[in-house]
Amino acid sequence: MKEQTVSETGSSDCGVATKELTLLLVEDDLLIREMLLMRLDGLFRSVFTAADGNEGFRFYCEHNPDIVLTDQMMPGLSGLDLMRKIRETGTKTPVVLMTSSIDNEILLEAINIGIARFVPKPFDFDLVLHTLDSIAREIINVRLLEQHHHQEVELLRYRDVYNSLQQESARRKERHVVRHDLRNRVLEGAGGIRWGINVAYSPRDIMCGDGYSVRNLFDGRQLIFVVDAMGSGMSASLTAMLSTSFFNYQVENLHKWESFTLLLFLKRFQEYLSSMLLEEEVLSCGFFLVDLVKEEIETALFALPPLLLRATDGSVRRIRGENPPLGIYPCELRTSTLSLSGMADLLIMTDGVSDALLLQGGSYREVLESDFRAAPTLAALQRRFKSRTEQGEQDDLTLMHLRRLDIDAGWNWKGIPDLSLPGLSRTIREFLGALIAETALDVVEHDELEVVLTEAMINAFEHGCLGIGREEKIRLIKEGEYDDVLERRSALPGAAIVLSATLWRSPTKPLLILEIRDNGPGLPDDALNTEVDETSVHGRGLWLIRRFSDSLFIGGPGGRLIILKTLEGGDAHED
Amino acid sequence: MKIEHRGNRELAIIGNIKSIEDSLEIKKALDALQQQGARNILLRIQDSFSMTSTVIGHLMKLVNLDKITISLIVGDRRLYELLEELNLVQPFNVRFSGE
Repeated sequence: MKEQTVSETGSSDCGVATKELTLLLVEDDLLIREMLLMRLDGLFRSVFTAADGNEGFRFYCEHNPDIVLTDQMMPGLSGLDLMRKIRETGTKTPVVLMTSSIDNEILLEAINIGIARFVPKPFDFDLVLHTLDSIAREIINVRLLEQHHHQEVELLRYRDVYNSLQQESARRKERHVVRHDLRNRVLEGAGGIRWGINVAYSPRDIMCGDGYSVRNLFDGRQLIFVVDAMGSGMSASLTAMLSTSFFNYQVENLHKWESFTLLLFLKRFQEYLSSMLLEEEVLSCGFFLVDLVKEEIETALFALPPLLLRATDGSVRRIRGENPPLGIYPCELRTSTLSLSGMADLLIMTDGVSDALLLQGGSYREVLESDFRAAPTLAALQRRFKSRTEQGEQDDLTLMHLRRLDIDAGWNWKGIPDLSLPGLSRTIREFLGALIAETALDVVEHDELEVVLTEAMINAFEHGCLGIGREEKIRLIKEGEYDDVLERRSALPGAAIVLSATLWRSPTKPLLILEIRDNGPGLPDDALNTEVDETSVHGRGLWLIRRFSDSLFIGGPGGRLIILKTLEGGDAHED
Repeated sequence: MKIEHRGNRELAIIGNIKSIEDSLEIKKALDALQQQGARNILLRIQDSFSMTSTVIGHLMKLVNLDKITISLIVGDRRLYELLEELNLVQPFNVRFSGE
């Protein structure tokens, strides 16, 4: 027979701990059971009573009480039997055993199976209450600890999400501060010689201790800034970003200056640093005022690794800096001027590159110059750097590469295709045939070049010769007419495509410079910044060209793509 | 590059997809299957490391405009990675069979 009492109220001197809990009372003696119930009712949130061990176990499964108070001697299941069955369910509910026996065997077994407490019979009710209250406090303490732990885990989770959001926001800000006005753009210099600037920027952490900015000035010159702040982490990153921001601010207001010289620019920068840096902080950085019309660069290097300057004949010079690192203390500011006449390319880097650890030991500066001699593009140099150094353990890395795009070289090729898909294809084949006759090409390079040229020629054909703009292309694809138009539409009057190529052999690995020119309107400014995804109907051709070449520049008049590819002769494809 | 027709809903492409002719041939072969009534087309691209934008554009037209189910089994990891970077693994049901 079961009697169940649920009481919300009750009074006792015996603490309030029990009031939050439920109790299962198992006792076959009706009188004792009633007496206990009368005293315990109200002290617990609920008291369930059972008349024997079997009923007790059933109620245990049904009500999952917080504490079990059971008699030992009962018909059917004894108190210990009940305890064993409870433990078989995998729960750790404390069980208090009431027993008149002082049999050592029973006591030992009870201890072994984890009885929480004993209450001797005939019992002293105060002792029963004290025992239950003590167990109740233990339970509540454990629960408080669990709750606290759970809250801590939740807090950590929240902090993790919060930190991730903060980090992402910081990264976005960093990308906003570093600038490259001339990414993928062709720059015109003296005698119609064209140049391009590539940057590789690899922060080690979310926030980078390096920074850079490549800006086109109001007078047609370019001003470049590279910075490597002392130390690492947030402090270095703040310094790098503040410096870069100030540089950008100055550049944006240069047109208001009465006269602009690099030295004056540096003085103002130094003034700013004297208020921004901490006493012990220093800054490695470089300023480069590029004047392609005069074919010269004015430099101010503050403890940056030496520049590497290569002439068109392949010879390489190291250019050491003029100044110690910048700090808060005033110092003399020195600049130098480099002539770009007869020069092919210039490499600028932060010490994360030169100090990177080589896989076989030592630092990358030991092989930097020989790698630079072999690699005519930034992408080719990066491939070498990656293959030689320990990835994942490096400092922040910034590499900047100014490259001449028009070079007098021993081998030049030019083709003007018929303006049809078969005509384009024929010219590509003729070019590849001529190139193979001139230099060793491995199969992969050959096929990559064919993909690059296919994409570039079709791009020139559809935009420059057939006059298909972005909007029309989207419409034609949606209507399923695009392929037909490409095959059947006549070229615009005066339309033409010219494919020209130069093979520059001065570096250890030759550089192929391809130019695909049409007399259409040229690519829109954002053509190379368009994200390509599964829904895009344009931009994939340029994406493929970039994937299979080292570098890509665009620039008018008309549509012009200049594509650089190092011919590694198989070295780049070894796995 | 060579195209092998296998049944009325499967093409196997052998060699690299790289030229204008390759693109046109693949487009023609796909259109032919579509005209024969294929609603599910399986393309096995055994060893190409690339795919031209023309072929990608045509496959997208088949999937999005003509509601044809395309499945690609590619054998070269570089092509799989290329399609992955363009987020085309799902729309083209791309599976990598190499290694």
